[in-house]
Amino acid sequence: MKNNVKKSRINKDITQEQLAKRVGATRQTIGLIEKGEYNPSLHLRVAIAKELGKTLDELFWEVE
Amino acid sequence: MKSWISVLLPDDEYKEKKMMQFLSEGAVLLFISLIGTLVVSNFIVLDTETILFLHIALFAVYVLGRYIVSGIEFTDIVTEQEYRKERRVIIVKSAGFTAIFILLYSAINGFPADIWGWLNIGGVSVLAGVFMFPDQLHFPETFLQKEQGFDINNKTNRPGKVAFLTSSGYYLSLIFSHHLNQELSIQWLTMNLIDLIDGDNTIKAMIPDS
Repeated sequence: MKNNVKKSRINKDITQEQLAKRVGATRQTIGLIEKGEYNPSLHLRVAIAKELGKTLDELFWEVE
Repeated sequence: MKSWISVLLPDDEYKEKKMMQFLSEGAVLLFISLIGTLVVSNFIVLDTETILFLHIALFAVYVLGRYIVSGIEFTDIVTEQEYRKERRVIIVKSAGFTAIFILLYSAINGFPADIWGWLNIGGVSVLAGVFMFPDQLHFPETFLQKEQGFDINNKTNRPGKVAFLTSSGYYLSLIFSHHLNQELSIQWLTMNLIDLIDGDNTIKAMIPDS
């Protein structure tokens, strides 16, 4: 499932590892989320959205 | 997740999910094998200790194997440089563990006098070393160049802390079991397996001093 996590993370100039540490996940998990290979829980999505300063819609609404 | 099992699970939700999956699969396999053993026990006399050990081993090996193959142990290794560095560390640790194991085991049990003694030391040491040695269970990895941080997760699969703990656990149980005169040796395992399958003592007749 595609999302805008990677684009938003790069715009904020933070690495996967940094984002992972801040949201309480591993770098691997962030990588899988960005690839669309893992469907995170609502809790993790909210944590990522807060960290990146975006809404859930902006990050995770289906991208064409 | 509010459960006592959470104590055994990692904090990261992806890892937690995968571990739950592996433990569940292991539990189902264990359940099926126990039912199979229950049915078979009506026709064949089975040694309780051996069967219990085999079932425990089935669960442990399955879960450990799935964990190793999944590649969730080393989540931060992406570039080839980091992989080589980690591999070097694991090789040194594996070799060190194997050497210390052989020395301590010989110190406690004495140096082996026969083939079974060497198998006991060598087999377990090599097995422990193999479980800890990364390339023995090497699977294809994908690396991407670093660009503003890591781009994609690495699918490196290697035995790590779990394998070390498993090997250490077995090593410790060997030490303690020796003191209790119930040695979990390769010879003991082999003879019990032979007992299990060799109903008319055909195989045992071929083994000297069995």
